[in-house]
This record gives sequence, structure tokens and C-alpha cells, in this order.
Amino acid sequence: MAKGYLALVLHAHLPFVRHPEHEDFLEEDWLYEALTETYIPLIKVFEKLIQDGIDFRVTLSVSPTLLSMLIDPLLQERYLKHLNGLIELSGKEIERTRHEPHFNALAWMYHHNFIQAREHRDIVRALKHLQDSGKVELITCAGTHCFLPLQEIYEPVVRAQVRAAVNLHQKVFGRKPLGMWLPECGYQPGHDVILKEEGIRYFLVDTHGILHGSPRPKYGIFAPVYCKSGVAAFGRDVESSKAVWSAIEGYPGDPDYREFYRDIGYDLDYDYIRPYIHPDGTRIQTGMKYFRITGANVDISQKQPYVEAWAREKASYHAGNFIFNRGKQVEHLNNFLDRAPLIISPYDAELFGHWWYEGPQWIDFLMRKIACDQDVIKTITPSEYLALYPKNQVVTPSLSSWGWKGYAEYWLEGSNDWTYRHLHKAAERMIELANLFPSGINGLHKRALNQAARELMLAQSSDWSFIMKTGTCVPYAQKRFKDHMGRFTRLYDSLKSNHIDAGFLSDVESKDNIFSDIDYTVYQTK
Amino acid sequence: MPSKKTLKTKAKKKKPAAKKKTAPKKIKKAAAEKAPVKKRKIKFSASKKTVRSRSKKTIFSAIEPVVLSSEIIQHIASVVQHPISPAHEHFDFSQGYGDNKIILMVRDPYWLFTYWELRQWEKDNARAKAGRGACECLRIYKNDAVCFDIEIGGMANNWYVSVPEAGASYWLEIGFRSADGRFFAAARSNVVKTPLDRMSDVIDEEWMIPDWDALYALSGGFGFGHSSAGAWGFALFSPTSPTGARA
Repeated sequence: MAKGYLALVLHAHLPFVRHPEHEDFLEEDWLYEALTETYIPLIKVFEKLIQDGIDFRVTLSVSPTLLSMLIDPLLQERYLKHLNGLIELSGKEIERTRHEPHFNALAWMYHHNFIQAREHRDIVRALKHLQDSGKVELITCAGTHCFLPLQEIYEPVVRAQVRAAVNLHQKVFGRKPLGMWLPECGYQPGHDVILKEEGIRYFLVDTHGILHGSPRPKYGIFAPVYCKSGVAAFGRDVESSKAVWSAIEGYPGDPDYREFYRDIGYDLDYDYIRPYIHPDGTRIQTGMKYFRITGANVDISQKQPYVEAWAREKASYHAGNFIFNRGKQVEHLNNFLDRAPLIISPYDAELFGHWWYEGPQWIDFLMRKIACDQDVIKTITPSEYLALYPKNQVVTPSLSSWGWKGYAEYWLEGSNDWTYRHLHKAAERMIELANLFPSGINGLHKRALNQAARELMLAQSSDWSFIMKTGTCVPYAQKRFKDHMGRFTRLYDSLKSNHIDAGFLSDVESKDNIFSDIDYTVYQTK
Repeated sequence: MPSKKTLKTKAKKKKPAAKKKTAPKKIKKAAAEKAPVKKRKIKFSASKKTVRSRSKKTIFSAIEPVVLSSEIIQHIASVVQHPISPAHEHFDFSQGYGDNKIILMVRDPYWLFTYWELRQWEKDNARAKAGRGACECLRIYKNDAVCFDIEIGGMANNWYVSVPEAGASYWLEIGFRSADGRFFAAARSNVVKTPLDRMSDVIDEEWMIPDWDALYALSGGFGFGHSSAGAWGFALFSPTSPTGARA
């Protein structure tokens, strides 16, 4: 039996960026980039591990907004078009770089990547197969990635977010999720009761969520705790997080790894690259990057060509290093715990592949080395650990998030605090509508009520307040927030005055088509 | 170092947060005026740097960065990406909803955020009761006892409140304090509890095995291909339908 367990938990999330009203929309590229660079490479890694008979476990949170985009025919069609463009571009690059072996090898690498992505682009089906293999546990996240602690005053808001997520997950993957990734790991004491009622058995919080819980947790973060409701909470391990996330000590900053900011979309001759950037002529990332980080203080223009073999070697080395450190950590913890400790390592999935190009490769090496090269640690999923150790301490975790400073400040500060008076008012109005219109109504009214619920949920995405704070793409976030609030308000007014504009309703239904089975009665309080 | 930038941009939230709290801005204007005016950063800002030091050619300089400042990219992007909404979708946030309420939210163990909207007559009523020399205040209660008052300006409609104790419950009232110290509330907030910023003093241990049978069944079922393939009803990316059209 292993001396300790490692649960690698990846959270895959993108906000709902679907714009049928425009032929090309820059923000939709977020999805295409993440598919090509993160989701598909990760799935390929997991499939290959299974094919090679490697025993491994990974937990993957697929946010409902992301999942809704993955199953959307329009976005699937656009992604295929996007990929075809990249395949054409990489083909041209193979020709253009034929006398430059360093770059030519990379052009071929990307060409293969893009063709592989096209072949593997049915990722919903792939995820389902991975789930059924028993190696990958799929969990969900709140409906539109709403930062739940800041909606504390309206319980139906939290319930609606949780129920929409669970229902979509079940519909797409054929079973209810056991776990939920709370958006930004934002936990408010009491929300576990709602999770339980909606069928969720566990969630994850940041380290201090457990450590500052009450009563004092006997095993720290190295074993789950139960809330009074019986829902389990798992705490993030600081040490393993730092190894990957830290800008200074983290693996992704290694000089041999691929440089993110040099992209041929910016580097190459404008006329040559023009067909592959945004149709309005704006230079954008293509995903084809030929340089390595080279060194800590190397100017971006002085970067040296990327060498795939060196990077691969480094990913293998870093995987070994990670395992060595976890082994030491576990052996040390064995002195304090009377059971095999659990190390929870949660990360944003998009770190792997998109930002850290070699990330999926690192996971590949990690899983192979854990399975074959040592016997101190073993990978596990949170639900399996609960099955192994069903008896746990009862602790109420503390209000917390994994955001900056550990609480709500990133989503509640000067740039975004003004949104809450409108969000709360809209929640109040949604509850009012749900109470006003009894269950069982049909036709236009039901459609308008359900669409109002969709608009409210889309306005509640933590992504908008997050972007307002980061300062990147702020006009887009402001517009999205305003659009959804505007659509909600118009639907509210029309329901109250009994004058529903069918044309307007159809228009917004076609644009904001998330959660097709949503039921507004979740907001009823009486 | 670009790799750092990589992590800073996206991995922002995971960084250990040890910095000192900055004093929050206290007086805020009405909501609609608060649209941030920060200078925007384009998502990928390499080009700013790449335009420099072009003279230092290396043997690998076959690919030369093109001179295109991020400011220009930003400008183009902001104009093109965000066309104005169709007229039928014009919407402006309400300056007020006609409510008389004050809401309290927790930002962290030592800071709360409150916003409010008062009906004029409720406000006038409280002011009249407080009499001459009345002062508009937020009165903060900790664990149901008066903690302190904050005098607020007439234009403010929200406030960041610094509180003395983590792990305590708070609520507040907005109203007027009379010259002799009596308080007349126009609205009272919800109650919130701040999180602990340290280990709990409670060391009692209680252990639980919740719903063991159910959980075992659920966990044991995991991995045996129980989900019904194709249950969802349409083939994504089927070979005959590369666009993933519904079957």
C-alpha cells in the first residue's frame, strides 16, 4: 500500500464566449486556443496512458460554460474552420522555413499538432470515454462560474448555479458529478448544505479554508474534512502548488521551455500572415511560437529557437523532481498522521499547454513515473480517497478563496464593486418573477422566465469582475455584463407588464443559448 | 522575464498573498460613474519589447518582429471588437431602484463592503428625528453591540469598512446621529460573519462517516463504464457531419 496519495485536480474553465451575431469574434479565440493547446493535448496524454496500461488518476473539472461551448454546433463548426486555417498556415511555414532547420522542425511539430487536434476535436466524447475508463474523474463547477460568497444573501442564486451545473453535467456525461469545483475555490459556510441537496459529495477549498476551519482540523490539509452537512471539503497543498505556479520557483519558467510571447502572428511579415490573423487586420497569436524562454532576463527579441528534445528532457526531469519532493513530503507526514496522507494539487487546466506548453508532457511523465518508478505515492481521486477513508473529522471550513489575498478582494474592489447592487437587484427580481409565475405555465411566459434566468446567470460570471480588475479586455467584460443585465431587465419588465416581445426573446435565446433545460422555478422561495 | 509574465497574467490568483492591505478608497461616486478608466493592456504584449534592439542580429534572426506598438493594437482591437449594440438593446443601469436598503458584504477578515439606497422621505424622517446638528453615519455593530460610527458624506452610496476582529459577526445601520449622541436609523443591513485569520481555538473533535453505503456505491461504480454512451442524443463531429450538426 502506498504511503501517501496525490490527487491532481485540473479546473478547465472559460467564460461563455459565443457570438453568433459576428462572423469572427476575437474572444471566441480563447476557446479555440484552449482546445488546441490544452484540452486536446491533455486528453491525448490521458488516452495514451490508458493505451499503455498505466494506472493513473486525474480529476478534471469541466465548467458548465466551457461544456456548453464544447457541445455547441456553431462553435464546433467555427473551430474546425479555425483549425483548417492553422493547418494551412503551418503547411506554408514548412515551406518557408525549409532552409532553417531549427524552425522547420517546429513548423512540422505544429503542423502535426493541428492535424491531431482536428482528428481529436470531439472532446466531449473523449471525456466521456475517459470517465468510463475509471482513470479520470469528471467533476463540475458552478453554472456560470459565479463567485458564490458574494451572492450569499440570495440562497436561490447559489442553488440555481449548482443545479444548472449538475443537470448539464449529467445530461452530457451520463452521470451526476460527485464533486464540484467552487469557482475560484470561493466557499461560504452554509453553501455545503445546498451542494448536498443537489447531490454533490465534495468540493475543494484553498489551504486556509481548512486550516482556519472550526474545530481545528487534526490532519491539517492532508485529509478531507466533513462539513456538518456531510459534504467533504479538500484543501489545497501549498508546497506542490508552488512548484508549478510560482513565477520564481515554478517549473514553467525554465529557459528550455517554450516562450509564450513570441508568436509568428506578431513576428512575420504582415502581408504573409494577414489571412491568419483577425479579419480586421489586428495581429493576434496564432499559436505557432518558435522560441524558448532562453533566460530570465533575456530581451524578447534575443530569444533563441526552441528545441523540442531539450524541453521534453526538462519536462521529464521536472516530473521526477515533483515526485521526489512529494515522496519526501509524504514520508515526513507519515510521522504525524495515522493514515496515508492525501496531497491535493489543484491547478487551472489552461496553465498546461496554453501557458506552459510542456505542461501536458509533464503530466504524462508524472503519471508514468508515479506508476512505474516508485511506490511511496499513488495517484487517487477525491472520491476514491473518501471510499478508502470514509471516517473524517467534522470541521466547518472558513470563508475563503484561492484568489489574491485569499478572500473576495479580487472580485470586490474599486473596479467592480459597482456591479453588485445591480446583480443583487436582478437576483431579487428573478426571485420575484419565479414567485409570481407558478410552476406549470407554458408558452411565451415560460420561455421568457427561463431566458431571464439564463441572462441573470451569465451576468453573474466571476469572469467579468475578474477582467475588470485585471485591466485586460475590460471593455469586453463591461459590455458582456451590461448586455446580460440589459436583457434580463427587459425580460423582467416585459413579464411584469405582460407584453413579451417574441422577436426580442427569440433573438436573445439564440445568442445566449446556455442551459437549454433550465427551469426558472429553482428561484422560487414559496 | 517573459515566463514570469506568463504566470503573472494568468496565474495571478494563485500567488501567495502576503502584501500589506492597501487602504481602500472610501468615497465612491454613483455606480454608473465608476466604470474603470484604467489603461488597458492588450492580452499579448510582446510587440512592445520586440521593436527595440533590432540591430543586434543573431544568427537566428530570420524571423524579425514587426514594429506594431501594443497601443495601436489596442486601439484597433477596441474599435473593431466591440461594435455598438443594436439600438433595440440599448440599456443604461438604473441610478436607483426606489429601494430603502443597505447591504453588507464580506471582503476579507478585516474589511467589509456596504452599499445602500435610501428613499428620500425615510432619510428625511431619520434626519428630522435626530434634530439640528445631526450627522449622517454608518453605525457598525459587532456581535450585536455597537462598535463604532463612520461619518459619511452626502454623495456616498457605498463604503469599505475596516473592522477590528476576524471571526466576528457584524451588521450596520445607516442613519443620523443627534448632537447628544442618539442614533436614528433609516435602514438596517443583513448580518455577516467575517472569517477567522488564524487557527480556531475550538479543539473538540467530532468524527463522521456520512452516507457511507451511498458513497461507497457511488465510488465503487466509478470506472465501470456505467454512463450510457450516446445518451445525449447527437453525434458530435460525426464523420458525415464535420460541423457537428445534430443527428
